[in-house]
Amino acid sequence: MAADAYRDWDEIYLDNVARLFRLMYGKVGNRPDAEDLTTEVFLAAYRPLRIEASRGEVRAYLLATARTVLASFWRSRLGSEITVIHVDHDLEALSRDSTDETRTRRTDQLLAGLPEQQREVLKLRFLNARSIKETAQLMGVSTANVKVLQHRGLRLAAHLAKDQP
Amino acid sequence: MRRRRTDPIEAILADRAYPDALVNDADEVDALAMAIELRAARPGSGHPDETFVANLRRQLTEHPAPTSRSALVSRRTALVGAAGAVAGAAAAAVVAVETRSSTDAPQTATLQPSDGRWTPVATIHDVVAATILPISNADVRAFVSLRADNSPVAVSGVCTHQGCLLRANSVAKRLECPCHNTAFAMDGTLLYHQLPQAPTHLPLLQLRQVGETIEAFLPHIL
Repeated sequence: MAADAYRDWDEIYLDNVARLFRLMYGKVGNRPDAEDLTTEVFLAAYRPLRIEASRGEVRAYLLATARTVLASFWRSRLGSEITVIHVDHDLEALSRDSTDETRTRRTDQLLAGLPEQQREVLKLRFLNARSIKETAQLMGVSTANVKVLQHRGLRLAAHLAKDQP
Repeated sequence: MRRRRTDPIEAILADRAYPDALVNDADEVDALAMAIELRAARPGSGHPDETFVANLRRQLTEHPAPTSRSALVSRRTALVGAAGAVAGAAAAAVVAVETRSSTDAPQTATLQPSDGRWTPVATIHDVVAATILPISNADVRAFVSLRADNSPVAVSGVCTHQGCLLRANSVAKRLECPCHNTAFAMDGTLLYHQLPQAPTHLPLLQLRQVGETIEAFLPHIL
């Protein structure tokens, strides 16, 4: 039995549920799906997982399960794997206690690389949760314009992201 | 009226589950991945809801060795008995439960039996314990659950397409039709389908709460 093993399943759950949810939320971007996926991972892992394994082993197992669960979710829901779990990188993120600040820093950098109007639309829509209508009013443009700017902004940011992984 | 399929990016912004859709253009995939990244970068956005954490914990401890996912769906069925009908009559403090906020454009019908009675169907504790509580009698089959604000809501358990009996998926909190790939939310709205024409939403049952008892307006049992 590993020295840092969990006492029981409840402890495994309590120590990992928030980590796993945060990971899934980062992969799908909405709560209902992140909750469903977190549930699926725990249900799938419940039986095969040995309690006496070390914490690192338990998390690696949860992550491997999460990877499969996420892949099949994307295939059945949208037909393409929009995001994937990278075992090495995400295991590190899963082991961290607090939220990932590098995530925020990276998006700030990406947004900084966009033309002003596109940046403003993405900030208002995604970070400040404004509706299309509100965004249009705040920026003094039409709603059709907001849609176009959002579309272009996302594509350009995605393009920029490829150069700075 | 056909329901327009939701754009996956709009689902993210509304914090809704993704619709069944096909995203296979490489640019669209990248744009959606970027939308997810932006959304998840908001400070504090990745914290799980406390109720979710508590419910899943209970689910795991109550079902230590599930054989399959479907085994976790609650099989508890509360039977609506004629005997219970008497209890409701004497209720002094009746709290009326609002059946629906009427902001949605697609129409949701409410079951209006012409000879109805307020009939006790469950206690609030039954619904909390079951997440999705099936109720049925000789006339009606329905599912009761709690909304986000903990008020009870009940919908018909019969698919509006061809009348198959819906199954509760308590993990995903939705009602699924075994006949075709169709599912409804717990407030009766259509979640997804693969039919040429979208089936209508599920009818709601009129509910009211008397103390801890939930009553539904059901056809009078003879």
